[in-house]
Amino acid sequence: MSVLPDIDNREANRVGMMKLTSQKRRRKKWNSEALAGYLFLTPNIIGFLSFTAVPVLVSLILSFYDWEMLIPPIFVGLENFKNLFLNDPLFYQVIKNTLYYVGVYVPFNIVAAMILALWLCSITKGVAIYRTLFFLPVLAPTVAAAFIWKYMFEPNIGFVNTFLGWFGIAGPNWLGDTKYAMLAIIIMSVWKMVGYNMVIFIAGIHSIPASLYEAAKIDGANSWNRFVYITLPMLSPALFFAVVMTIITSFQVFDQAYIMTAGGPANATNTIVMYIYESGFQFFKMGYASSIAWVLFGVIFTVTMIQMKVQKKWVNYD
Amino acid sequence: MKKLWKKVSAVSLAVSLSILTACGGGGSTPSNTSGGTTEQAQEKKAEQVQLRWMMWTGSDEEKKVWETLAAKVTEKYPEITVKFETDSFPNYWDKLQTQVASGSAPDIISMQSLRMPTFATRGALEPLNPFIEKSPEFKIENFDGSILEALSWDGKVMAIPYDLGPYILYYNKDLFDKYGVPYPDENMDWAGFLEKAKATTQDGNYGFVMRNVIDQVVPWIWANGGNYMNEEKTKSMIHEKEAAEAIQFLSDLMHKHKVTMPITDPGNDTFYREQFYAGKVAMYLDGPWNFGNVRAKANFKWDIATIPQGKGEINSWVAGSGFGINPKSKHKEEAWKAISVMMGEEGFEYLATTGRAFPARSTAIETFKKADERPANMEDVSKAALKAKPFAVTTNWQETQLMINRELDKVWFNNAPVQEVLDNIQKQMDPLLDKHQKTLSSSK
Repeated sequence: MSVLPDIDNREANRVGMMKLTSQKRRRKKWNSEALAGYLFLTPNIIGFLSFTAVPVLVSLILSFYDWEMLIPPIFVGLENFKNLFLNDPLFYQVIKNTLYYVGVYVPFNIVAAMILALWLCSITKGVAIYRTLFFLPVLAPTVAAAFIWKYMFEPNIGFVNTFLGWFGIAGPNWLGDTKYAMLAIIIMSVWKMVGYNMVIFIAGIHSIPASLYEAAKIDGANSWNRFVYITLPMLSPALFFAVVMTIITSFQVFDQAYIMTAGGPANATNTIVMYIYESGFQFFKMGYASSIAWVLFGVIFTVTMIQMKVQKKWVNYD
Repeated sequence: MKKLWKKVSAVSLAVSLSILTACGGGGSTPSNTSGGTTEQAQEKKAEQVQLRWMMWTGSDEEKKVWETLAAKVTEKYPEITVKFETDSFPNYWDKLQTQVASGSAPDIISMQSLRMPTFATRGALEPLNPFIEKSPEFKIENFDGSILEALSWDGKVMAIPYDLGPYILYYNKDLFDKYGVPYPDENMDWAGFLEKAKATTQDGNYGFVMRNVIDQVVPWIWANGGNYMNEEKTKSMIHEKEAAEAIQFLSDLMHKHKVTMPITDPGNDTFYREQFYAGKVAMYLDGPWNFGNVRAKANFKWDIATIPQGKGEINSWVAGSGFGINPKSKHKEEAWKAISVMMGEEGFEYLATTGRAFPARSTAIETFKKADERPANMEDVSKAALKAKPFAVTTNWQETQLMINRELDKVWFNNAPVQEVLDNIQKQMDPLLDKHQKTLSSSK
C-alpha cells in the first residue's frame, strides 16, 4: 500500500481545495484523505516535535534565563549574551579555534575529495574497491576512529611520527602541543570524512555528458582546460552542496576533539559545541549553554545565507 | 503547571543537548517510570517500600558488590528493597543532575566529596545529622574525621562515606631496586624526591609522571605552605609566592630536570596511571581508591608512601564518596535505615573483604588489609590522612578547576613563565569565587 496518494488523487485534491466552499461532497473526501495523510505523518511529527521543535524552542527561551537545573530558572533578559560577548575570553577562544578548524578542514576536505574523485573517474580497474576503501571511514564511528588516531599520533612509537621519521623529519608531540593539536584533529577529520564528498563528486562527474569532453578535445583543449571549463562548472551544483554541508557540520565539530584531546592542551582544541556541552552539563549553566547554542546557530545561518547569495555567481545549473 | 514546565524543559533540554553533542547521557525518562512503580508498589502494600539507589560503577564486579550490599538491607529489614541503578562515573553526574532537576532523583544518592557542595547548596541533599543523632548504634565516631568533614557542608553531614582517600605516593619497587635507590618514606623532602626522581630517570624510564590537573598540584602547594584560595573561598591565592614556588618546582621537574614524563595524550584521563602500570615510571600521586587497578595491572613490586614533605604542615588532600538522602524522597526514614545497614559495621566488613576501597570506618581496616596484602605500607594511608585536609571546593568548582587546569597546561605543555600564568588564573578565578559567594548567599 502506498503512503502517498496517486497523482490523479492529488490533482483531485487540488481541485477539491479550490471548490471547498461550494462542493460539500468533495470537501468530505478531501478531509478524510487529509486525515489519513496526517495520521501517516503522526509518528514523524511527534518525533519531530518532541525531539527537535520543542527542545529548540525551549533552548531559545532558556537562553534568556539563568538556570542551574537544580533550582528554578531565573529570568535574566539579555544577560547571558552580554556576558558571552563582553566578559568571556574563553568564548572568543573557542570561536577562534572553531574558525581555524573550519578554515583549514573545509578546503582540505574539498580539494582532497575532488582529487580522489577525479582519480577514481580516470582509472578503469579496481574502482569499486578504492571507492569502498575511501568511503569506509565515513561509516566508522567517530569515537572509534578518534581512539585509533590517538595511537597513530603518539609521538614516540605512533605511526605518524614513524612515517615522518623515514623522511628524516622529527615529528612533534602532536596532541600534547598547542600548535599541532588542532592540526592533528583536522587531519583525522579529513581522513574520516573525505569519502563522503568524494562519492558526491563521483556521481556529479559521471552525470557530465561525454559529448562535452569530446567536443573540447576536438577543439584542442588539454586536460587542465577540460577540468577548468567543463568539469568544474558542470560539477558546481555538487560542489556547492558539498561546501555548504561540510561547513555546517564542521562548525559543529565535537566528538573528535572531545576524545582525542578533551579540548586541551590549554584550550587549543576547545570548540563551540564542546563549550556548549561543558557549560550545560559540567558547569550547571543551562541558560548560558543555550545562548552559546543560539550564537552558533546565528553564525551557521549567516554563513549559509551568504553562500546562498554568492552561489548565483558561480554555481551553474544548466 | 510550573512543575510541568520544569520537567518538560529539563527533559527536552537534556535530550536536545545530548543530541547536539552526540553524547547520549542525559535521558531521564526511564527513571521517571521506575519512580512511578515505587509509588504503585507502595499503594498496593503499604508496609512494603522499594527504594531507588543510584551509584556509579566501572565494571560488573563492582556492580555485584553494590547489589550484594543492597540485598543486605532486605535481610535486615524485609519490608525494604533497594533497587540498584548504575552508570559510568561521568554519565552518573549528567544523569543525577537531570533527575534532580526533573524531580525524579533516587531516594539514596551517591555523592563524591568534590562534587558535594554543588548539590548541597542547591538543596539536593538531606542533612543527615538528625538521623545520626537518633541512631547511636550506628557509631559515627568510628569514621575517619577528615573524610566526614569532606562530606559535610555548613557543619552538617551530607553523606555517609564508604571510602577514605588521602592522596599518596605510589612507587615502583623494581625500578628503585634496579638503580639501587632507597625507597621513598615519610621523611623524604622535595630535594630527596628530586634526587630519587633523577636517579630513576634512566633507560627511557622516568622518575615521575603527573596528570595535568589541579588535583595533582594541590599537595605540593600545601606542602609549601601555600593555598589555591583562601579559607573563606573569596580570593585566589594561587598566584602568591608559596603556590608559585610549588608550581615552579613541578615545572622544573618537567622542563629543567626532565625527570617528569612528557604528557603525550592530554585527552586521556588515565594516561599517568597507564605509564605507571606499564612500569615506565618510578613514582606518581594517586588515591588509595586505585589499589584495585594497580594490583590488577602492575606486573612489578610496588608500594606506597606519604607525599614529599615541605615546610607546610599539610601535604595531602582527602576526598571520598558516600551515600546521602534525597530531600524530596517519600521514604527518608527507610532510606536512612538502608544506609545504616550498608554503611554499618557489617556492611563495611563485607566491603573490606572485596578490597574495593580503603574503608572510611576504622573497624574494617584490619579486614581490608587481610583481603590483599598489597601495598605493604597500608598504614601509610592512615598516616597520610593525619596530614591531610579536605580538598576545598566551591559550588562552581567544575568550571573553576577546568579553567585552572587549562591555564596550567601552558606551564606543562609550553613551558610558559609560571608567574605570568598564575596571574592570569587569578584574574579569572576571583570572578568565579564571587559567583560562588553569590550562589551561597542566595541559597541561605
